Amino acid sequence: MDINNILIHLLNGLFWGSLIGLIAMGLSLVYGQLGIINLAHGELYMLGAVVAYYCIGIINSFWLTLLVSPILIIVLGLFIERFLLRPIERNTNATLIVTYAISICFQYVVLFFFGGAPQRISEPIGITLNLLGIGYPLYRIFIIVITFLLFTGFIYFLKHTRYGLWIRGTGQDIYLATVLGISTQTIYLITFGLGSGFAALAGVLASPIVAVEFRMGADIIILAFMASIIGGFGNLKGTFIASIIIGVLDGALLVFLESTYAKVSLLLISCIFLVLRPQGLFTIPKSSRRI
Amino acid sequence: MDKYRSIVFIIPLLITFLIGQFASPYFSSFIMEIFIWSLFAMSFNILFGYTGLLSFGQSLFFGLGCYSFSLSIIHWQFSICGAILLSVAISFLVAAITGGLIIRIVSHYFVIISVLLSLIPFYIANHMSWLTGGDDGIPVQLPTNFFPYVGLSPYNATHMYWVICLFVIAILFLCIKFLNSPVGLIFKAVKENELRAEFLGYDPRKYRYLSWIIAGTLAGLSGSLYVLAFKYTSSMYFNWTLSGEAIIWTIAGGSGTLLGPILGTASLLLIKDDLSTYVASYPILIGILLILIIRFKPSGLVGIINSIYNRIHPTLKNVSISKHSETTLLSFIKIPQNQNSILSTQNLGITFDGIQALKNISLNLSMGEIKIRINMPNGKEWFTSLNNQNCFPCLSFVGPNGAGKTTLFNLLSGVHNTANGCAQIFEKDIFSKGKFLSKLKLSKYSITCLGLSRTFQQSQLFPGLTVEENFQIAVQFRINPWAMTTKTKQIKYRKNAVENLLLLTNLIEEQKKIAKELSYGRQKMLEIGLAIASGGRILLLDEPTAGVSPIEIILITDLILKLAKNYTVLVIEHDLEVVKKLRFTTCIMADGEIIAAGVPEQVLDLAHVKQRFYAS
Repeated sequence: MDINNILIHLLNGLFWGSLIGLIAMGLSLVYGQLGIINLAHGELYMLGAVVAYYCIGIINSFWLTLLVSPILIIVLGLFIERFLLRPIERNTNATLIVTYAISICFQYVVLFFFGGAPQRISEPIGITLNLLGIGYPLYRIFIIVITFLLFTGFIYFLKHTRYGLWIRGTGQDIYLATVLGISTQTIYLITFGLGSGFAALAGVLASPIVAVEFRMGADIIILAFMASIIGGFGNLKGTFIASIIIGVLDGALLVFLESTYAKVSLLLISCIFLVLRPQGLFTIPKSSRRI
Repeated sequence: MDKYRSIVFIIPLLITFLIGQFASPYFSSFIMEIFIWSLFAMSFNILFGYTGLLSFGQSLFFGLGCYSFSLSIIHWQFSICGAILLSVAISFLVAAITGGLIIRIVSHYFVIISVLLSLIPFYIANHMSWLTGGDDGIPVQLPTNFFPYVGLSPYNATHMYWVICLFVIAILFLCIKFLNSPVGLIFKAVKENELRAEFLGYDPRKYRYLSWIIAGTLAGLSGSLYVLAFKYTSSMYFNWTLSGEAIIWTIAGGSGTLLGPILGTASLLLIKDDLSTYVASYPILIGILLILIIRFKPSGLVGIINSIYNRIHPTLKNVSISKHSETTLLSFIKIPQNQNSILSTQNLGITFDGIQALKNISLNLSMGEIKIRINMPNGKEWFTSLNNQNCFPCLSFVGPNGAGKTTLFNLLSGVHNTANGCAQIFEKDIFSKGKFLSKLKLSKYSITCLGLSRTFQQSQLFPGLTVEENFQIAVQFRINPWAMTTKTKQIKYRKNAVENLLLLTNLIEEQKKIAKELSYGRQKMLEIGLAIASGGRILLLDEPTAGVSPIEIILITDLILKLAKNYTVLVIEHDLEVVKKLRFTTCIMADGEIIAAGVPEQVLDLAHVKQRFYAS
């Protein structure tokens, strides 16, 4: 096996991992706060990319799109939270079914307006880096860097700002948070909006690399789920690290195995995780709760 | 009436079947499709509607059924019956294995693992297209006869229609009978309130496992029937979106109802058939419909029909009980002899993260005497009192918040896994002694089995079921927890027991009401009734009168006094009037210790008790 080849696989894994991390972070955040597993999260990622496709057609600037598209999706996310999820907030099965319904709707709305044919966006940075004699697109490195910056920024936001404290507090105990005067409903809105924003951002970032189509969310959401499982649902750091691991592992497995078996073995790994360590890799299990 | 209930449900199916008989070939094949998908939806209904497990993994079994049927026919020349049996056997096996692994996973995680599980065969089937045909699928060449020596051919449309529809109707009939049986009711109990089910003696995991296996086998069967009817299979039948379809059908029809999945499947498939010719992306409409149903009418089509029916025929409010028999209480556990201990603890205690919540509680209750070790300011001593023989030994616990009263109950009922010291119920150890800590030997449900039942500060009921059903579930445990068919004798016995309980708890008028609609006090009564119904001899009642109206306090107090004649009752109570009225041996608890015990008036007058009480 060629050392350069391994390096390429590693970098690809890293960049995939960071994209998955961005998506899984939103998933995990929403679960940690609202206790909702958002089955429509992959569709928010897909919408991010689709909106970016239209945006670039209009404003003709990728960098502006990187800002506009997530904002639009955040607004959409706010609407979803406020009008669809809030009435059934504490009912696990109902939220799962509603988010599933939302995901169907989005997929077919996009199919209706956007068509079924995959589209592409040209890469905004055309520069290719020379790494040990092999060309590697700078744009992918840029993705890795920007997601890492975003992640550290977000952790800082959670740890060191007022809003972050409120968000963490609400996630710990909603009743106490309400009593202390935190508007938990606003916190929920913010959280869901942020989660959707992350997904959309990942969508925009991925749009120059993967084919933009109405089904693109379905595949990646599975990877994001696996990352959230291995990292521990609701645990942001764990999820992010697990995403990177999954991305790299996916790349590494691809070196040895066919893509199907790589996928299947990843699925098996996460199934085993769910059975043996449902709290994830990094979470310490809580002691038995009082009734 | 009850006897023929299952048959009544099957009539609409038979009518549909007859209509299809005289319809055009296209439409009758469509009806056949509806029947097969109804079976699939029914499998999901058993899992989700009854047991509360939302699974996207049903397609795994459907696909398994499809492929084991078609591959065994293509490659091994199985007969049709043999292939169906094989696919049922395979899906049963896979369900048994996967279920064993994943059934302890709950709520969200369960959903995700069910998706992951169905993805694995989907990817593999897509990849191995030389065997499975992948996306495009493979046609299946069937043998010429359905059954050996019988001239029914799968290539004759009428024969096919008859065989498939009648077979599916028979299976659906069995499903409905099963769901009407006591186990079906217990499934609902597990869905409504797992904790309560556990404290009534049921092991929720076993019931979930059963439900998973039955649902998986049914899905496998429907898969094989689908291939039989349409002679084609593809890897798409493994895709979890197929389970999504089943979810939509079931919920649209009304999940947790008997006819809901069938009704939902029929109506949505009809809509799909009509709409998809006009509207290209009708799934959008389906998605919106689903959201609206969940938001405004979670009980689906059956719920709508029911509410219309109820408007036309308001249910009779006067409920009468046929015979007012003398209140004979359920007693499955032998009344202990004089000297045998009913409940005893030695140095029972527990530490939470360094805080000692409960310290060295030692007590011994038997028919003859009550022995409690109390921690007086001037040292430890034993309190003993002879027990009045008309009455079982009863205790009431009084003390400030955080004194460890509920913790004591939790320890005795098996909520905490580790503790210090040991405890016995009817002379059976519930903790096994370790070097430092004792480990819980029995699970919550086996402690209930031994004869200890409890209530909670926050009433734990089956909120969505009627009072009668609540009692039925509780009583069923001592009759036969695995009764999958409805036996007349058992039903009669159960009815009798439930009527007695209704009389005892004064809930006769409310028997048809949904439990969550009862007043708080009535809910408390119901919960006490549930504890009695589970057949225990020791009742732990945690604040039975907290937050209850004055009249209901009197009712509850009277009930407890009545119970004391036949049960060992341990009550946590804050209302001193109630404590005085009960006249049980009263233990004052503070900081995890029993600091005084005796007759209520005397104990409450002790100087150090007063000091501890008013100081805190």
